[in-house]
Amino acid sequence: MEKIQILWQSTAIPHFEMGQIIMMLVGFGLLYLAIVKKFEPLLLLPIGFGALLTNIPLAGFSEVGGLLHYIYYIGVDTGIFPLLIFMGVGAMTDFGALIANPKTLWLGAAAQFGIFATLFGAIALNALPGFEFTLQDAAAIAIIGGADGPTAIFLASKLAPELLGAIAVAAYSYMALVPIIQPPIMKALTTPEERQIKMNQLRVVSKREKIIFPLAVLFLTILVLPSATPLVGMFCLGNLMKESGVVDRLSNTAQNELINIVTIFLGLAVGSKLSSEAFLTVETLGILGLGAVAFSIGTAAGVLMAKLLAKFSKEPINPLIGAAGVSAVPMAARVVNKVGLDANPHNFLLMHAMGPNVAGVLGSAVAAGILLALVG
Amino acid sequence: MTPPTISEQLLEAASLLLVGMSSVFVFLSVLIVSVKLITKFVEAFPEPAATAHVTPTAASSSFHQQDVITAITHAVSAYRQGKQPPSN
Repeated sequence: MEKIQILWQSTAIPHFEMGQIIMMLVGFGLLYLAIVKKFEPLLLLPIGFGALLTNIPLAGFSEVGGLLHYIYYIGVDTGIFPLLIFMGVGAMTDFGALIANPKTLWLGAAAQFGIFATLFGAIALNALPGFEFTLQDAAAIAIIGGADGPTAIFLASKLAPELLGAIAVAAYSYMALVPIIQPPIMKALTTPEERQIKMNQLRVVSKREKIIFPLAVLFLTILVLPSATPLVGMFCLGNLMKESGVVDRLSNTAQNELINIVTIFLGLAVGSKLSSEAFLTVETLGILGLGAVAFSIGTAAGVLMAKLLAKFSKEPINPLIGAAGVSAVPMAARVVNKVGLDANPHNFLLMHAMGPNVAGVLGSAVAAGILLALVG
Repeated sequence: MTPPTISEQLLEAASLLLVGMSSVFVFLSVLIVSVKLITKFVEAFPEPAATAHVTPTAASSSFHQQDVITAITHAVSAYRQGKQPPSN
């Protein structure tokens, strides 16, 4: 009888807590979104599975000695995983459209308004009972508006590690929701005539310009914003490997094998932060709400900036491309293209939107550096 | 130290908003200028006309490619002769 008792105690069933069950359901929900709805499956699948693992009673995945604990400690606590991913993203990014039309950098800058406005909003939420966001927390939440997963995780791991799970889940969910969140805002802020504007063909950018560009970005960052150099530096390294054309093997590894390996571990590590005590709080609801607000404000700011630019520009600018200023590469640019095609079936904006899109990546990395420098 | 009141926090958030947004704009504006300078620089010093370095392996592979293309062309025309004339 005693043996049966011991055996019973070693099963998970008597040890399940309500919170763990709910978090496992959240994990299943993320798996459902990844597998059935195809929402950012590359990340939501390992995150969802990590959430399952970390909430298993007695297994201790996320305690000292457990697998997820060490993965988190090695990769996310140190900031290494998001930076390696950023290198891979750099190796996949083509700055051609941006170099051909450098004005679009302003669109990438304007869209970062979403980040800073949300920071303000997060602090304002403190007026409600149940919310106690510090300035660091608010900064980490606000970066969701940058629509850049690795940047959000990097900043959250530095500023508010206890909110990392919720922030990462919100960031990736909203990135998947870009095609739903953005179009209504874009349409509300533009007239049908504006949406039909055709833009001039972009010039061909020489290889040498593409090689010098990442070096110039790095040089500028070193000079004025050293706190952003981890992100921008790795991004530029990846980009230089791609554009130089002399280390194709390294570039291929960075944008394929390495980024895939790191993505598995990053997802699991983020999932390990989805424990009930960290996630089942009213603050998580606040983070999810603020994330959506951040995204919408960023989109709106980008579109409005594009309208402003169009007023002063000699060349025609379709204001829709401003919406791509919230990074989310290349989803946001595709959304711009689609909304443009709805207005004019012969108007392909994809290449024009890639400029602000990659500018948004730079912009959110710069914003992250500024936040680190100011509140870190 | 007493925790900051909400209005103090809001004030700080507002100043972050101003400082942050303006620094992002300044940084990316400087970047715009640098991109334009890079473009000017590259135009001012055009690349020396690329001399054709034809290595033996490249030559033989392109030779093989020529062979393959000829073979395909022959095969296609032979196939088309057996069928109706192509509509396009």
